Amino acid sequence: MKLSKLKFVDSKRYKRGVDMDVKMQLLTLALRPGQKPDSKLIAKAVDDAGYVAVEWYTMDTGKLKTHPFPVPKR
Amino acid sequence: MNRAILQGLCVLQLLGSPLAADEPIMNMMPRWAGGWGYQFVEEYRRESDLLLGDRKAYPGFTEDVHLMHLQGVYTWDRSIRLTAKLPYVLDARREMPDGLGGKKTEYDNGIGDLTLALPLKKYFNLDGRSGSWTFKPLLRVPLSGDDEYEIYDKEWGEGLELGYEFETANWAFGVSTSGWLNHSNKPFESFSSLDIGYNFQALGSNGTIFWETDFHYEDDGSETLSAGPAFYWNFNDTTHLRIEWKHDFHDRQGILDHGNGDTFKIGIGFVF
Repeated sequence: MKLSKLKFVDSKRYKRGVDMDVKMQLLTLALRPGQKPDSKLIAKAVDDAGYVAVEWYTMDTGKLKTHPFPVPKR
Repeated sequence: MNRAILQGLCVLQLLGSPLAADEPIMNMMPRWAGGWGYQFVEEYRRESDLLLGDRKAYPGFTEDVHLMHLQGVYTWDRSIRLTAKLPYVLDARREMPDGLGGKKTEYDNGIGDLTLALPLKKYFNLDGRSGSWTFKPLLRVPLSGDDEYEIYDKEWGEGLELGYEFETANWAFGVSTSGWLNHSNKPFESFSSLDIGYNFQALGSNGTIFWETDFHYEDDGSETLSAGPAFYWNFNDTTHLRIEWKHDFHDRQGILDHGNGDTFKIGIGFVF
């Protein structure tokens, strides 16, 4: 999938900005400094590749928070 | 403010993992819209005997074939692709009875017939398992020449293939069957395959080891069951390698033709 082409992804880290844990079905994206991820663009890139993005994670005051991905329109 | 991102990392969970079908590139990719690629596959095949039915009509009459395949793919959308497969006969020779009790050698060389396909896929993504159903119209375009004998038929042909495949983190499974209608007096023929693979990670990348079984049937009474291992390696997101070997475990020829063979293929592919 073309996540590495998203403008907020730092393609110089990991493997073109993406680290995949196949067993856990977990994808880690490296972000450019100061950039925030765009969940809609991520969900579309994942959907275009034929997969389903389920949720993404953030740390807030030391706690892990989960965020469901929006369902891309087809 | 949401101290959202873990020091420049964005972590997300998704369902699905890449999967396979018998088309470029490496039966696996590109899965993404707008993706394209090409691959070269070099093939060596040796058949040991000239068969008629189940028996060796002329044991030790061999056929050796050396091919180079150029194959390409374009993905408009994950559900529709166009693939093209063009073979080139680098060198082919076969031994045939000369009618006087001895043998003569015939040769073939040059471009083969082009195969176009339009794989239409319906993907599914389940918890830990991802796969697809495939409906694939096929068209064979006659491009081969006229030599002493021809590997390719130089005939128009239409076909249809159905496939089902899925993959988990560790395993890959694929099954498919196709039928070809050929023009003139060529028999109907069918190709079926059953593939099982084990995914592994090593040296900072990943690959798959397969066991593949193919069954080829023609309605003139010919049937061949071949099987063997295949190895796929992902050098990086762009460059991919595949090596495979198959042995004919059962071979029956409805007309006098070579059989009891082995096939070795090595391919390199590039995806964008």
